[in-house]
Amino acid sequence: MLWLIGNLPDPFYQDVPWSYSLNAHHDVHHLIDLAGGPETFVARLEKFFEPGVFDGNAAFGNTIYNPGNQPA
Amino acid sequence: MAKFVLTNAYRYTTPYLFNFAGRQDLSVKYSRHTAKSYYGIDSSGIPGNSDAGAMQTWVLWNMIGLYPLTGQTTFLIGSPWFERLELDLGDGKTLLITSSGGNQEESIYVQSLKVNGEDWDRAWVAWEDVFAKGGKMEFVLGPEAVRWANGTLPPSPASH
Repeated sequence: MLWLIGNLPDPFYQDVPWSYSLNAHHDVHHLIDLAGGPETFVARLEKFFEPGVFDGNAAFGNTIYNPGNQPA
Repeated sequence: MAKFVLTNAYRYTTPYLFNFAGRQDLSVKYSRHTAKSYYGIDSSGIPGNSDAGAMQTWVLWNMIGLYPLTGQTTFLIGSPWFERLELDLGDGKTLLITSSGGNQEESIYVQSLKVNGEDWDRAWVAWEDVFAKGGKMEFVLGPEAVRWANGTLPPSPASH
């Protein structure tokens, strides 16, 4: 539930699940495999930066991506 | 619907992850957009709390045209903002980064790159390449995205 972000009871706490799901910097190769290959991975990554797809982050064009920091 | 979204620093590297999928041009596109849209030179020039310099450091790396991967010796390649940039690494060592053909708003895409004088086809360098003993990176930039980085992908140390 994307709108729960930032509430302490939220298990994801500081960011949206989509953001965490891209966060395996020690093994992006495996992450790309799990995504279904490079093309799907790129599409998924581009969706992260696409304006108007999220109800939050209004200051940043409603992208899932939030380039800011606390308090955003 | 939340109007206030508390987030934190878990996505600093995300705009550069395209380098792992052969699309370094998209890393340049999205990281430059972030830097140019959400950073500025006034007192509110960073998007949120500095977090002990993390935000300032993020935009500095964007200007340099590299991005360090936490806990690894890999630096993902972006696109430098300047025609000439020299990093003093101490002990008389420097990393010189030059670019030609670029401007900060539109002509941002890497056309070709030489590292220490050699043609480079990878979207990353290692610490040993340009920092350990210093080094030189020569970028040619242009307004059109080009698939210049068709060489070995950045390391994924947990897999190989």
